Amino acid sequence: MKSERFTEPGIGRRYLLRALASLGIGGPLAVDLMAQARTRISVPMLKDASEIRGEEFSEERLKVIQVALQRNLDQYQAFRDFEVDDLIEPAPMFVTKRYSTGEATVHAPVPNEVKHG
Amino acid sequence: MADREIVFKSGTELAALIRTRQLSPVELTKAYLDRIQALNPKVNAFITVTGELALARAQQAEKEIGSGKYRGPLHGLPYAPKDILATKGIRTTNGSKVTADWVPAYESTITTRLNNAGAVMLGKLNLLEFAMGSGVLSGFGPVRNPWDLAYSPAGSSSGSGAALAASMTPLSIGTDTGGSIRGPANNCGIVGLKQTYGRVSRFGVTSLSWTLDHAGPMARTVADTAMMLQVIAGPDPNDSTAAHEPVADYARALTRDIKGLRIGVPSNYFFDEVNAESVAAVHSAIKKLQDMGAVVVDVQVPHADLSGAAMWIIGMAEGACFHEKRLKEKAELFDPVVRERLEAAKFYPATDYIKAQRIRTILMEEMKNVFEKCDVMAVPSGNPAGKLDPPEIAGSDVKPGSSSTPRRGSTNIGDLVGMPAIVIPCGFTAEPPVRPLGIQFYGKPFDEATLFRVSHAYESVTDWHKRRPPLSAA
Repeated sequence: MKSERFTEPGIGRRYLLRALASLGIGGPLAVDLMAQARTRISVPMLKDASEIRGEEFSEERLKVIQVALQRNLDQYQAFRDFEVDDLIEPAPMFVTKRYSTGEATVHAPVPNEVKHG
Repeated sequence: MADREIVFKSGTELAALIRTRQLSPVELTKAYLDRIQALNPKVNAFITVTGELALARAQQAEKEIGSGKYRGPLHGLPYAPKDILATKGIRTTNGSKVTADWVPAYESTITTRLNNAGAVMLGKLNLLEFAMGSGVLSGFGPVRNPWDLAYSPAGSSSGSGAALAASMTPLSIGTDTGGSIRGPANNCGIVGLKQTYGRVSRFGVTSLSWTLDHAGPMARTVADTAMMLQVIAGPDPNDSTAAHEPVADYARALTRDIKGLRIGVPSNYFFDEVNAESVAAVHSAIKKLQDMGAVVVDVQVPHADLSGAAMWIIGMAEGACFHEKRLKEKAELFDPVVRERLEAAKFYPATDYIKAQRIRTILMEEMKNVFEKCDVMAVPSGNPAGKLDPPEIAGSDVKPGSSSTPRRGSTNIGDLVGMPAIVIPCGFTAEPPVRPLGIQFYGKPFDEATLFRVSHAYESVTDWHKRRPPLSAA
């Protein structure tokens, strides 16, 4: 496998950067404008998503999550823009041996409950 | 009676004295317990001190050694693991109020192996909650850096790094999911090894991320680190990811001979955003290794800049899954930083998680290409320790700082690709407060021996590891 197989970040982002450059906008200002152009996560959006998840969060918690998630989204845009070649599979994690006969695997439990007092 | 200076000796020096019966394991254990009692109120490295048990085990070791039943170099030697390793019948807190009173009914494979080798557990060490907390708001309060108590020892193996630097234990075990062994090694001026994924069993180590977690040795010298790995490495029927590759004789790697060894120095990413003093110290160390006969080659990891995001998404998504029930039932007991990170991760799309795993494949391939050109890759291990400041918690009254910060840096990639990495001290800041600087070497999978070889060679011509923090036990 050669590194040439790994494609560069998405055309959309590069196109937008070029378009901003043609307007004389570059550097941190361009990055900031691109961030502003992206979808902003809102508390109602998260409320809907929570319902899909089947989990209920208070308004207060959703505000905390909204800020954290927006921060993640802004910081990881390069990751999201990155286009992965079709031939690249996820890193192997499935361990067939765990399910073979003759070798026991003990799963160590961690308590869910607190036993205060 | 052991003198007070005995606690500053390395593990291998102590082992030699114990083997030849010049040093009593009981007296040595007492010396460490005295030091813990004197310093822990300042450093907060220990959550639990198991003094009575330690003395009983030391007495047993002394008796066995006296009757000719010497088990090996760890026999009678004190150690302290991060309090995220399950210890049967001994409280294991994970640094969290959520599991503050948990007393496991089983023992981790690592502590089982250390105990079977005759090592004497002094207690359990503080950490960032569930190996990912704030360092300030975690369940048992912040650990302080012995080089300056206002500074951070880094995390999440903060207690391990600080206890070693303060000579409260000669040996420790930490865990590393994004750099949690190597960060404290960098900040505290000690040695930390994140060995190859699978080299050491994870059984009984509370998960943060099943596919990223590593538990490994931390000590004040390379030889001590090698000595510990020798005992804890190897397959384990309780952990199907524990590898069956043969375990090398690591002591044989400590030759000080690095003639012809190829050191890769990356020209992209790894030196970016690292403080100039740290970069200079790393280049100076590489120059010293060149003077000793090593050969420097240029290497590149083209997509290293994606490692931080990939590590974070995988780590937090797996962590959110692992802690799902506890988050629902005991959310208010979590460190607010941990809670915020894990709850946010519940909204990461599955496609992002899988994409991160695909990027992991890319990085594995790129690192494989690196090691076709060199034997080890040398990079900075981070910036000097920063002040212990409260992190930012969105929507809460905690002071601003950073919580869900972008993960740049040179350590994340090691956990993603599973390749081994070691951090050793390579200098100190010029200006006060004097803080350690570190260098990190990456190696080929299951080639920890070469990491020991190069880092031991460097250590043998420098004295950074011999310096002590200005911390008085009086």
